[in-house]
Amino acid sequence: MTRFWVIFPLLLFIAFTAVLAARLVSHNTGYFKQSPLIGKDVPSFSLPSAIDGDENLDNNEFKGRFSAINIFASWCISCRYEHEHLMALSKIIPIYGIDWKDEKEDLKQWLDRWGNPYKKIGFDKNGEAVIALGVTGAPETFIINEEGKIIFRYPGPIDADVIKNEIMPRITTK
Amino acid sequence: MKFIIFISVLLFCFSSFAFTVEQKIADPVLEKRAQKIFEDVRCVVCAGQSIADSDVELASDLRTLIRKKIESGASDKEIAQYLVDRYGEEILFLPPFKPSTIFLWFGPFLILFGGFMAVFLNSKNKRKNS
Amino acid sequence: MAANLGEIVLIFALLSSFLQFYAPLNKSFSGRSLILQKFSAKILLISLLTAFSCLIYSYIISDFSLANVYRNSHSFKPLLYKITGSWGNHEGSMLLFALIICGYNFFYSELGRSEEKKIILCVQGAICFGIVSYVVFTSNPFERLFPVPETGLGLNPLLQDIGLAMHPPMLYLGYGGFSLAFSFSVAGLWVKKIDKNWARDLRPWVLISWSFLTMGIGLGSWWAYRELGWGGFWFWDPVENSSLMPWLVATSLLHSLVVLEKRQEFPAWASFLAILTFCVGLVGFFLVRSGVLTSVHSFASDPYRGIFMLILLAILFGFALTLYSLRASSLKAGGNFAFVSREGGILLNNVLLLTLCGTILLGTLYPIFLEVLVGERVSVGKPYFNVIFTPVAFLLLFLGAIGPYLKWKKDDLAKLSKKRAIPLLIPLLFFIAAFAGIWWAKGGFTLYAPALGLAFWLLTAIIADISDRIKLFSTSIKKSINKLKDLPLSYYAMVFAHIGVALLAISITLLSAFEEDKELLMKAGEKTELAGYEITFLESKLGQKEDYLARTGKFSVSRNGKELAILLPESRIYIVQGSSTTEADIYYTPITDIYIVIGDKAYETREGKEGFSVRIYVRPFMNLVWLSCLIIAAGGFIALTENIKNRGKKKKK
Repeated sequence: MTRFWVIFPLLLFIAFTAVLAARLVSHNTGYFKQSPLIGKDVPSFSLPSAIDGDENLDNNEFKGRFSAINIFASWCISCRYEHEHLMALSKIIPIYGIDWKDEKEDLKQWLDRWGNPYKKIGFDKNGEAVIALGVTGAPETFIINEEGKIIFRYPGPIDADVIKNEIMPRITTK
Repeated sequence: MKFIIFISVLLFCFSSFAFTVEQKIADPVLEKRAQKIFEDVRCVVCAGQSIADSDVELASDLRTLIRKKIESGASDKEIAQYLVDRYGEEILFLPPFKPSTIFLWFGPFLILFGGFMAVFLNSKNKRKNS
Repeated sequence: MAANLGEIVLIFALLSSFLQFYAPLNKSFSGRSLILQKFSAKILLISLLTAFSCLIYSYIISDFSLANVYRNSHSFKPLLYKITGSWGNHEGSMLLFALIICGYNFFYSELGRSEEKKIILCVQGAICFGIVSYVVFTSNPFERLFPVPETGLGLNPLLQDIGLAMHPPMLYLGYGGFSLAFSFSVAGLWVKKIDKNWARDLRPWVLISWSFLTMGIGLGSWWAYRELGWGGFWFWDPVENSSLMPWLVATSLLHSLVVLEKRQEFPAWASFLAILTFCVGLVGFFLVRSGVLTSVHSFASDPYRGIFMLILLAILFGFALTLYSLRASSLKAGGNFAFVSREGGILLNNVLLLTLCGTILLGTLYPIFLEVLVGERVSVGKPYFNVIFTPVAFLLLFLGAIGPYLKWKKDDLAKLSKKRAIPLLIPLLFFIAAFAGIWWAKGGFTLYAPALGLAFWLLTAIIADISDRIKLFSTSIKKSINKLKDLPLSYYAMVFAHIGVALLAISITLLSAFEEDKELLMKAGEKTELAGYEITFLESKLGQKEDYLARTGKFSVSRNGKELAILLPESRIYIVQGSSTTEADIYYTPITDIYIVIGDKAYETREGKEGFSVRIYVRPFMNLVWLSCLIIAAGGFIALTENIKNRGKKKKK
């Protein structure tokens, strides 16, 4: 009995080292990397349009076909980086934009200058819709299936690799 | 490069440029309740702070949202659930009580109890006179 | 140039530490191995002193060809922070840590005693070799940059503070000495001899380290309080936790060493604690620098560094714990004590302290374990630690009063109640008074009531014990004072340390129970009130100092119409980094702190108000917290004094 307790610290240490080694070797450190909304309906939200005269955007928009939601803003530098890829993606599925904490004037200038990949843009002035979607920063992109369920979330700017390896497989298979 | 990002995030979270005073809840009891909740909610973009201690805009938005929910009558549990549904269980600093965290919650008491037993069993009370 | 010298001497350090390790292992050195080891220790220390001086020199002259200087300094920094910034980063602080461990190594080789000195120095050599290798191969502060940049990136403004300057060195003076505990343990297990001489020889080194660690933790909290602008001083942050864990184990070790020295009891347990102390200290180092944990305090992470350190840990502690498993049972066992006895009390103290340590370890590591094993993510923060810590701390406070009263080996609860009832009656009265006082002040039951009650219980029990020993109420004052002088230093040490803990509990409880915060917009000329203090915002000015722009707010703090202080908090923008911080200004008094932070100009849309964002904190008894840490550390230094005094006197066999 005592002999077990004498070896116990060593065993504990070995287990402890093994787990830490496993953690070091895998690279996915960081919180809030996996969204709990995967597989669920788009949470309810309702936003006025960012472009005066256009329709509002709410969570009922997403049934019937694959679509994407993209959180962005004119002040967001990485958003400019992903913009050309968004333009490409917008030819495959409709993208709905949520303009986060922006000014309508700045947004208009930004869209006029770089182009508009969005079918509709919601104007989130106080950040509530963004929190409703569990967003951690801009840009962030969600892919939604025909039933209106979120099937993928990508934090950060998307690029050609992400479209090819993550988005396309999800929207072309059933 | 990683280092620069790290420093930027660090400064970002502790910087004051977003230090604007938010609208508090008029009722001091409700505001106190809000403050208590803030301490238990993790700031989503910081390195381990609560939204009570962070000046980041997203933290401020979370605080405003939580205040709104308190004023509209939501319970603490409902607010917590709202956040967990969207950000995952990691947004609360109080770890959940579920099968995979049983050891987390009972571990300390196991150590305490085990230790007491060990001391007792090794003392003369248990053994015969030696 | 200095950098080249730095790199070369580090090679010397590797060689000499290896020699120190190898000397007693090679038969051809026999007889002279101790001399060789002492020589190696000297070279080792000189090498590291030189290397560290080279680094500091490079910082002073702003030599940006060194990557380390480039990343952490710039020409406009004030000289003090150029110097202290050298250890405000991973590589520099590791070099400092290596220096301190080699320092302890040297002082032990010259001053330390033991029958197994050769083995101890051998193990020390291995440790030093490991740490210096880590610096040389993964964290070289002398890494060069080409082409040489013209200007540096600057030091994080949060780190430009005198508290920061002192905090890491103080902490490392703590962790570093625990390496000796480890070496003693391995040596003792190797020769299967752990007895009262072992305890007596090890104790001074643990005392020094423990006292420094106590101050280091206190300093860190004090710095956080002053710098972070939220009025808090402990956040259960992984880095803070990493420093508290070895402290808890070291405290257990100190208590066990006392038992081992006085009663020759539980040698195996003491040697295990000695290994554990160093292990937990180094694990803390690993956690903070390897990137497995996210924390505001953690250094830039690099998996390669993490792996190297993990391997180092695995070798050191794998070896030690294996040795322990093999040899522990052949040590002369104890077990010759009753459950109700001072030995029992000290063992229970150990159990409680280790439970606290285990809780912190569990809470800090659980998210990692859970993710690796099951793939789920949880956060463990303040609520968890508070829930577990509080009852255990209560038990500690309670037992802390009773323990010293118990007799060695065996005590009788029946006798306990009759003879010792009177001295314990007074603490009980204070418990009730404090409990009731907080109950009344808070308008009902809160956890502050038992907390304050137990803290006073402990405090008055110690005071009652002192007055009993000096017969305060039975003889004249003069005779009592004489008796005070005759009390052994070791008793004073215990008194200081335990009173310090009681005062810490009292101050934290009162602080948490009665602190107040206020956040509002203020325009120049406006007044506000908090906790009976009147605060007037006089004016705000914009100015430039050294390497930052500052908006300074001038506040007047009054009470009952009498002005107490002018406070000048700042909102700073650092030119090089382009970032801003707030610099609180604090009015310190023994009874309370008034703490003011000023932010930017802001507009509150609902009421249409504008002004500067101002936060005011009232923190009662805050300074008692820092004082308590000092008192606890003083206890350690007093014990050390006695130990040194006794060295000259007797040579036990």
